[in-house]
Amino acid sequence: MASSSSSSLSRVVVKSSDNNLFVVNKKVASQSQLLKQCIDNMEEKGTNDVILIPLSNVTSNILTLVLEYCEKHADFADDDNNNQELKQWDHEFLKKFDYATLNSLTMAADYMVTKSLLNLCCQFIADSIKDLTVQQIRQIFDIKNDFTPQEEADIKNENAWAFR
Amino acid sequence: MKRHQTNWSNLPTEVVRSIAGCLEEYADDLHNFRRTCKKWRQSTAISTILPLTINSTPRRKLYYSSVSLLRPRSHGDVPSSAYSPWMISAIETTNGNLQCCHPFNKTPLLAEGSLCEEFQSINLDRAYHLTQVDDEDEEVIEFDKVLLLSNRRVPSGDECGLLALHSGGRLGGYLSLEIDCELTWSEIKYRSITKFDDIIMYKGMILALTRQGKVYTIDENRLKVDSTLVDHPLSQVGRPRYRGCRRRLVNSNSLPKKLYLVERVSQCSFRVYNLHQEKMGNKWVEVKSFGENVLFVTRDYCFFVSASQFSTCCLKNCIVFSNDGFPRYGSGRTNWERSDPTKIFVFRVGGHSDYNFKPISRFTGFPLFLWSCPPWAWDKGSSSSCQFQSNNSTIKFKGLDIRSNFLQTLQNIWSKHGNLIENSLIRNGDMVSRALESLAQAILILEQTSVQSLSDSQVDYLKSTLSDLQCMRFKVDWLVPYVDKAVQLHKSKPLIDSRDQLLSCKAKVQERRSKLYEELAELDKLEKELEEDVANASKFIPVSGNVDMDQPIGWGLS
Repeated sequence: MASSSSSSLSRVVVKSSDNNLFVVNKKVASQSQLLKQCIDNMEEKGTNDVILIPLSNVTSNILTLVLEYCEKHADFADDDNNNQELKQWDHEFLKKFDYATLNSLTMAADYMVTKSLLNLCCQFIADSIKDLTVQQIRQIFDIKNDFTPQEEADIKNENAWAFR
Repeated sequence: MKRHQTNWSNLPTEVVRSIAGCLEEYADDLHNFRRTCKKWRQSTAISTILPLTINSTPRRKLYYSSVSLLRPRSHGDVPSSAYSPWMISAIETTNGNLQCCHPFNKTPLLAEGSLCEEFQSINLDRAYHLTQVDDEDEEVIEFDKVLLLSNRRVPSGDECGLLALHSGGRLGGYLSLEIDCELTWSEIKYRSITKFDDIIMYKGMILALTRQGKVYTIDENRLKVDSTLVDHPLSQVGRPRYRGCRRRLVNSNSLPKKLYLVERVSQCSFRVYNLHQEKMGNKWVEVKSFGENVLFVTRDYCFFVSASQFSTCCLKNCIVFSNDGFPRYGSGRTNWERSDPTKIFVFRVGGHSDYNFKPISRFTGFPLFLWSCPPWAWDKGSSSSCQFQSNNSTIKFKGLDIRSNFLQTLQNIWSKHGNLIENSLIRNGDMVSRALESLAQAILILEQTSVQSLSDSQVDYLKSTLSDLQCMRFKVDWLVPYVDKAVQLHKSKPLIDSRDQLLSCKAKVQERRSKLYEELAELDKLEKELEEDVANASKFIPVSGNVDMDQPIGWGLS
């Protein structure tokens, strides 16, 4: 029964792709829908063991960051009044990272279904794209131009409405 | 692996869309964002919301297709332009499932799977398809032409409208494609006009062409005729009793964008007009050329391709079309008409009359593959210059990796005998792949080997393949008689050989006998002649009876 075991353990263990173990408070872990789903499933089965969740797509340094974010947001979860402070924290949080880390963090947020972190990353990426030329975007994000010259000319001249 | 390298162009589609969503209000930034790379562009395109089941009564399905020109990549000294390209359309009827089809009539060409990455591909045109489906999910009605209208920069179903030509030219649509509520269809009429020839997006406007050649713009927010773009009707001169076909509108393939109108004036003549925008009013002006281009007109697509793509044959200024590209007025084309190969024609605009019009089947070496995989695509051994012809390249078949040279065979088997691996006991995909390859190999042996050249090892291969496949519960009962036949023929090969020798001996005996008969007849004839000669000679001999020439004449006188 779910009720009999749900109180048994308040912590879960998350394993990163490079086999490091992180002991995480359940409340923090449930910021990620993926982790929350795993915990719920295990508890429904009525296990009394320590719950171990392996994440094959997230390295330990990225997992550290995601968990840092989750911890902060779990603290504020019940308290809407501190929104402003949290927003400030969010902003400072992402500013520290280079683009490679930002990429991994975005992928991890998507994979772990941490919606608010994903939105935060997307907004941050969008903000950093603003006012850049196409060349600059490609340079910053290290993206290869895979259009043919003809395609590029067509797209360049398309009007804003012509979204096909 | 992903975690070691940053790949921003490989972000999941949803992530790209939400980044683009943050830029929605910044048109220039979003425009630049979409120009960065293909993945970012496609993720934010309207096609990502498709295929879609439209919540209406009756139920309708909306999906997407595109036409592409494929050719092998340049390889060594052989430039890719040296190959005749292959034109196919790819239709995504269910999510993520691309079906490759003949671009003119949608006949499926490959069972399923995605296009081989090793091709160089050029996107020529795209189309949306709206079909009405019955309870069994069978498509019963296909709409003629569909435009999707979105004023959102990152399109979503909720704010995307639809406009479609149907039932022989009637125009209607949905204001939005919201998923959660039942949608209502609205028909568009204008004054006395209820039917239109064609609709098109041109420079951000939605245009509808009437039978007279007038053009109206449609307001996408109200689905009503908004204003008149061309008020001059097309000249009726030289267009007498011919019942007439619906005209087609097409955008030019180069910049600045031009709008063309193509009219099939009779069975074998066409007129092409160009939209002239003038202060006095816009009008259609007939042109004798559309430059270095080929125009393709099919039921679903209408597009220009640079003639330089077809270097082996001059298709400059030609229209390549099928009959259903220009449906006749009055015939409500509700069901899908499959045109046969002879019904694809080439017409040269402003050329010599004898070269003007002929079916492509009469072109020797038509510089375009339409019906079948070109030899450069899968056929191994015909040439070694293409890397994907090698044995090692694999292609997806039913989600399994199959060596590409077996694909055609397996597709044929599948279409003839259905799903063979339904009840298979094997779960491992690799093993199924290998088993299917063995099956294809066995079939190739059966198809390509004569009894005489069939070797012991090939027979063993056939026998072992069949029995193993049967053990795995593959549906191969249809193959049994062929393998049995091959085995028995092979077993009795010595007997067949000796029988053949006996037969040839018998033939020799017969020949000799008939020769002898001939000789005999010859001798008979000779004998007869001689007898006659004897008789003749006897007549002139005065003495009757036999004369002994050696005896003295007066023998017995004394």
